[in-house]
Amino acid sequence: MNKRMMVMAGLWLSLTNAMANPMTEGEEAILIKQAFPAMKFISTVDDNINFDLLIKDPLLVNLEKDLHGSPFLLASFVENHATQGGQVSQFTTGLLSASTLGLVPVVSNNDLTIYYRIRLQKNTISEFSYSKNFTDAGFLWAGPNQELTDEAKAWVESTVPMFLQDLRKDKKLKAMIDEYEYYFGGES
Amino acid sequence: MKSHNLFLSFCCALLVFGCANTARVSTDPAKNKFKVSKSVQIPNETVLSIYIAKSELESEFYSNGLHKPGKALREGVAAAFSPYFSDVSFLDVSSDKPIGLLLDIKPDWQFEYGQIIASFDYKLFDTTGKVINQGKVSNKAGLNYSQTDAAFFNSTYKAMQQLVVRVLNKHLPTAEKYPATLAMQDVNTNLLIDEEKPRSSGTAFLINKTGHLLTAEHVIRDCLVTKIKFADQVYDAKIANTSQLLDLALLATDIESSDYLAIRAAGDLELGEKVVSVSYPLKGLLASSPNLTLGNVTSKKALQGSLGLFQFSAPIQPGSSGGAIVSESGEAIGVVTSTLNVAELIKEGIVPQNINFALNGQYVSRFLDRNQIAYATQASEISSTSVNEATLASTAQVACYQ
Repeated sequence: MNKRMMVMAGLWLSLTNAMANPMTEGEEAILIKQAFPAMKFISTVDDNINFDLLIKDPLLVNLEKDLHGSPFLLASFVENHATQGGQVSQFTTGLLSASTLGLVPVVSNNDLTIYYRIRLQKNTISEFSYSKNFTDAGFLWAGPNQELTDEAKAWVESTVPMFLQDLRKDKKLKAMIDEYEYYFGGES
Repeated sequence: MKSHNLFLSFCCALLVFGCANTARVSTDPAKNKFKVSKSVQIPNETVLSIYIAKSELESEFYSNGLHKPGKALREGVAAAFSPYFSDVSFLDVSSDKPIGLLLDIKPDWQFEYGQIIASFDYKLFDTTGKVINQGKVSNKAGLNYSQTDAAFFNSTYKAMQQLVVRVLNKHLPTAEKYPATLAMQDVNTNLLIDEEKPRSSGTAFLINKTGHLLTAEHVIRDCLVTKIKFADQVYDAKIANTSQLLDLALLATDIESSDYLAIRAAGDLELGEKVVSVSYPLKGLLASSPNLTLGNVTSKKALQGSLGLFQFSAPIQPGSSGGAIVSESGEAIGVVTSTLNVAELIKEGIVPQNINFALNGQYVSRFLDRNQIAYATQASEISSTSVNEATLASTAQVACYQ
């Protein structure tokens, strides 16, 4: 009997919790449903590979590369930072490579991070970043290679849906759009 | 002989490869070459707050990739102080958190022969605002031009290790000796600024009898202290409302003046209509005099994508932002926000002249309505000479300190 009562109490508790928190854990409400105002886009990512994907989304249909007067800016850029293990590997294989006059490749291990930054009047409103670890091998005499590998480019493209999902839930951007609507909403 | 050759090739390899590689140093406090006195309690329970200007903590620049000295500075300072103080945080003047000691740090970076030399002037305040220690620490670190993070972090971290030990050994702080009795929001921010050196300056104008002034938002952004010079007197200004979207800010002061400008709320502009602009050049508050320039409304629109801006030809200069564009009838028809980026166009062989932008009075009026601020919308009929005088009499200089 006691066991049954405990089960019933547990069921009741979970039901009240579910009523108090209609969203499941980790889920946030979609706040932004309308398209962003005309916004300038700049990118340091090779060939602007994410621009074509971004502009297909209804939220970013007004994204343009040459919109010099807009107070809004979406910037995407990547950072490549060697991990601690990568630094050791780079150092030892670098020494080996230098002592063999560059015949042996330098092996590096980096955390590649892509940033999507939304700015208003040169002030960052929100920033979203996504990271992945990559191991690369390159020749010393080739110099530092700033270009992304094909694998890295594919990963950069895969971050676009994640960014668009996070973008829709951002409270600061919602407030920014609401202010835009207040002042310029009635204008075409 | 073989071992000599091996050693030589190792050194060559180190030289060739070492030049291209720098990394952040270990942040193990045991490796700090400056030793803390045995009579100091570690971790120390004194509540310490550190003030570094926001522009320094958020500084970034682009040069063949994005560089973030601000992030390295913030993390270098935190990494050096955290092992020694159990409660250390950056000053937040909106917080009510009580503190026992306040450390004001002013960073400066010099670049020399592949190295960064970081210097930090500092002042240590107790809760009464008394300076109990001041001086300078500096350090240098190798600079990898493609990844500058390590150089900024390492030079900061090493200098801060020296500073934290210096503070601990000199003052032997304890939570009892320096009790946390001063809320961050009650810190006298005037102690942290150099009145001779405003970070930036701009122009503002009075819009009513109750001491409200309008200026451009970028003039007062991130200011720790904002001051207004009006009629040869300096006033403290409180930032009452801002709109980053419009690049507009409202300042509240104790100024009592019957001179102020009406706003043309309808926003209608005539192409070619004559305008006056009054502004202050980029100088300290004590050495300033207003500049008055004349021009015309040259376009009702600005650059593609701009919002609420029009073009005018009255010459402006650094320090003009936030000034009023005044019509022949004495109404403020706009607020100066920006000018065309001439440097970029000169690279393409184009030399534009006097292409300046102002926010249309229509949006100024909406901003004031939204924030329920009283303002006039109709100027009294006055002569053109009087317009100049009225504009000068309503205009003030803004100085931003960090």
